[in-house]
Amino acid sequence: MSPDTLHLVAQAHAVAAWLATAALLAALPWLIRPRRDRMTLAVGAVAALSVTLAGGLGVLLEAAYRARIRQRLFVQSPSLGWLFERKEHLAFAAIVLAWCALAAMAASRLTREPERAVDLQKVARLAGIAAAALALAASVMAAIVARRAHF
Amino acid sequence: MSAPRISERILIAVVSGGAAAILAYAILRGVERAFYTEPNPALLIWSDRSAFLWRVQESLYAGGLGAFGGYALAAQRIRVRWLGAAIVTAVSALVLETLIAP
Repeated sequence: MSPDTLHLVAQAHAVAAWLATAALLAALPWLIRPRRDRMTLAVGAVAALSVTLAGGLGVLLEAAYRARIRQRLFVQSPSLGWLFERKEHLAFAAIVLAWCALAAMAASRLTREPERAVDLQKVARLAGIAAAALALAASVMAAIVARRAHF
Repeated sequence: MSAPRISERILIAVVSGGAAAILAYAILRGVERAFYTEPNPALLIWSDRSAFLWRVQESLYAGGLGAFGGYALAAQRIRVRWLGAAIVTAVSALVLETLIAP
């Protein structure tokens, strides 16, 4: 990947990550309310797809990060390096949890048992809140590292 | 309580697979940091493989196994409170791992 393309993908990744974080936060009021309509599912699906797209762009950057940035980052400041590693863990969990929230919400729409529907809605809320919180934390961590390490 | 439909069981399996994947990720990273010495990242010029992507791949595999378990559990005529507990356990483990063993 040429440096120009890399820069473009990195910028796209940053924008997509913040948009995905916003989508996850915006989906929270829909997940928290007890209604289980198609709109809630659609909002959840948009949030899950956007966070997955941001993650996919991050995976594209992984090889370049290892080859060009990781060592420089740790030489400059080990705490910044470890902050970026922490961000990767949280981002992975945020993506998985977004899909968990969507699946739990869809299951709560399908079930015929009201008690099971209540349990599944609780799971959707838990996973949705956790996904949004972890995505926000990961985006903030990445912004701190990018600002301080100038990349 | 009636038995859940197949589609419902599949969705419950997806959620339990997700929880298993996150838990597996946290355990893998914890084991890596506790039992294996890693080269100093400031001295490592380049690595052939990404440890992060390897962990993601392995944890998604474990998530797939967890999904089968979730699918089997979902067949029981019981409430699915265990699913919430699984999500809380997985997220707690990952946050703990992130704080203690990044």
